[in-house]
Amino acid sequence: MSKRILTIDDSKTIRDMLMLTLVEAGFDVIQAVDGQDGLDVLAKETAEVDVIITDINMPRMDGYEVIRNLRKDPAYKSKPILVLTTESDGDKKNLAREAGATGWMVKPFDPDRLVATVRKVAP
Amino acid sequence: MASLDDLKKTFFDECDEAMQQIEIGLTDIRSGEGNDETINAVFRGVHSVKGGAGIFGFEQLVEFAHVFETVLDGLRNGSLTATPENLDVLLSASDVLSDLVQMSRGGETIAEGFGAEVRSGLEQIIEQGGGSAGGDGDIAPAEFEGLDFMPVAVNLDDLAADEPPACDGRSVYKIVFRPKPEMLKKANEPLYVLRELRKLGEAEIEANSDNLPALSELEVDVPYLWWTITLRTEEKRAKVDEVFEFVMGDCDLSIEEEAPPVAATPMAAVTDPVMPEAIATLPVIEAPPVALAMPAPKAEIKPVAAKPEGETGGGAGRGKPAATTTRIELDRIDRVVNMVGELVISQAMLGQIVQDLPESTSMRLIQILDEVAHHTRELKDSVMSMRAQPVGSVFQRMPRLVREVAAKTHKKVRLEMHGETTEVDRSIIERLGDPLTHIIRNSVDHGVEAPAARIAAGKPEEGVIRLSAEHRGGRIVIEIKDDGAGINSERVLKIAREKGLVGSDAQLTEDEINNLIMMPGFSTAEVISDISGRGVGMDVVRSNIQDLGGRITLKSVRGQGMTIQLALPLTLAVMDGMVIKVGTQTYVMPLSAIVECLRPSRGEISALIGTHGMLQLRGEFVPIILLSDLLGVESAPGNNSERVVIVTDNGDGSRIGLVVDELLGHQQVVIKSIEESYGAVPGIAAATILGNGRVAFILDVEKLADLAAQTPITNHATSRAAQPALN
Repeated sequence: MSKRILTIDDSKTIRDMLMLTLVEAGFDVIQAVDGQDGLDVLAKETAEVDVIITDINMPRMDGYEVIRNLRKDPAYKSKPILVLTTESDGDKKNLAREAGATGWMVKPFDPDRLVATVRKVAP
Repeated sequence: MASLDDLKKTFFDECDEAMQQIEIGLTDIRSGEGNDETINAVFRGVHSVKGGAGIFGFEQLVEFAHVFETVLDGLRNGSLTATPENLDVLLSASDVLSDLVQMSRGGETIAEGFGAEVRSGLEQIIEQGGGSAGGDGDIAPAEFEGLDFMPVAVNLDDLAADEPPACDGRSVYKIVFRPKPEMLKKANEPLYVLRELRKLGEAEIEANSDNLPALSELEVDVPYLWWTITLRTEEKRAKVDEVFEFVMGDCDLSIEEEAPPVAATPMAAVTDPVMPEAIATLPVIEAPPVALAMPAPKAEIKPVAAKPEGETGGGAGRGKPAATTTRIELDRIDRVVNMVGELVISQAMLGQIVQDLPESTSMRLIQILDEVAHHTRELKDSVMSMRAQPVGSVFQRMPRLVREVAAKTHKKVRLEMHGETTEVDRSIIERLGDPLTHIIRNSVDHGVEAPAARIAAGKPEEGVIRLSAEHRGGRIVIEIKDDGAGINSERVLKIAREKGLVGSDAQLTEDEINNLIMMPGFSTAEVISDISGRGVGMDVVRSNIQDLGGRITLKSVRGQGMTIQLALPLTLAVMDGMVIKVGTQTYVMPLSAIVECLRPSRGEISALIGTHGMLQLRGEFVPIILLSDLLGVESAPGNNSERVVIVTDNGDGSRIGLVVDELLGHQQVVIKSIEESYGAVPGIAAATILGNGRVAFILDVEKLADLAAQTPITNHATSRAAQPALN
């Protein structure tokens, strides 16, 4: 069965791009428009979500907060969470890591690399 | 599935939103209204422009956005301060960013060094903050990392990245990999790391289980195993490092390169490393994990952006959780709008036919028809709401305009905007930009006084222009209000007399004089430079607004400023109208212009020489005009007392009573422009098709009132006035 991915990003451009790339690579994709929405979507989701890809800068709830919340949740404690961000500065990445992010990707992303990265954490 | 072109369109649409958010946010902060969330919203705006721009390779856009973002980041983390000077630079930066977006959208090549001045302004701000606004502050384009489509290796550890010379054979790496508990906490599987490693070449993987405790002491989330790996690969060292990219810092790792072996005799590789998970499936007693010697988490750094209780205020945030949306080509919606228009006509035709049927048959039909009418109206409303857009898209261009004109005229002006989310049909939005630009430019140029003059007049140095929009009685009312000098009415009157626009003995009220500036003859350059009021093309503005079926009114108080109000219909496609009859002709009058319809008794009409009479309406006198006279049609002969007076609201507060022969009823009509095919006719706004298939003109009430004021009462009419119109 194909892996199911939740992408959280407030930019429609990025959401569309993620959808395009991941669906083409054979993943199931569900989407959320900000951190809070991400948690809401997961709460409603009955099927298992295998990977979460989240942006950092978002209204209502940012990526760090999403990760912290998910790591507290037994169901998502050991799910890979990838951070997708334009922030290239090390401090912020460390902050994401401290929150419990599995890995990170830098926007803009190369589709092949994105898929490779996802497969790296969830084969 | 979306194509790349679709994505690009989405991106630019998003840019528009983001630019608006940036502009509004910065303006709010500048005027002291902003809060933490405002600066965050601005940051996110720039950030998302940068993110998307990267995807499509708009490098200049990305680079500029990056510097911009660095400053904003400094503001939100407190390493930079939002001084008015800095904010001015940021506002110019938003202008440049907006230009870059527009140029990228149009596929233009962007000149080298475009916006360089503003950019160096931004860089200066960063320097003031000690050169490290929010982190590394590496803003030199050469070091800019966002463009190479490579995950950026993070400096978590001192990772020697010295590349071994690419030898023709394979390199051999000795790797020792000891995961720490943190690794599992972040859902990084050692197994997957090893698997990645194997993809690189031939790997001998040896699992070391010397740390493995007794079964009873096993903890689920502690990795007890560690590995030594011998990797033979043709890949470069960087590739090997990349495998460990995510787990760096969460494991003890050493990677050493050996000289390539002369004859590689690989041992049988351990293909399936033993994983802690296999053990972890055993029942485990819940106990605080002893081995969890994690470094004490740092005091939780809460980014300013974290505001879990939801966005409040700031005005610049995106607010509510986004409703699910779909993007539809405007053409398609326009087609639906047209079809709804046709439906409205067909329904009216059906109504007409049903009316002519004998009552026995028509009863049930009328009921159904009512239902159809109800649904049609709802359908119309829904479709129109699809085309509705917030006026914010027009408003967003204004702050920049104000800044530019203020700078050019050496004035200090603040623009306040309200009601940007008020929605109106896009057909209106599209044509609102020019008039609004015109009015606001005039407000800054001619309305607001120079700082010295303002101080002399006892006003604050900085002038304020307030731009607002709201829905009022089925129309959208846009108001532009300044606290400038107002119109110098004496001079306006003097000039109007010189130009022969008003008779030398005409008695005009202050309002009437002020409205003279909207007369065509008034808008010539030498007049403008001469008067302290305004007048640049106000006649053009007026006709633009009238073309939209709107009204413009102007109020000026000497020394205190002036207010221009635009009242516009919400749509140009369908409207509520009153069908009336004059002689054999049928007309439609916009319902919004009608105050009331009545059949006055003899006593309520007073005769006045030079008029058609005055209607006495609850103590107020309303001049009466025979519509047949104005339109040049023959009124139906018959009983005058059957005639109806329609009291209209002319937009400027004045009223007239239009005398018509008969009211045929209220109905929705589809507006069909006659201008495109025929040209403008004073007093006629447009045409429509009625239920009987005939064309009827839609009257322009305001113009009719003007016409009535201009048309001298003919002898014929005067004689009638002697015996009031309606007796």
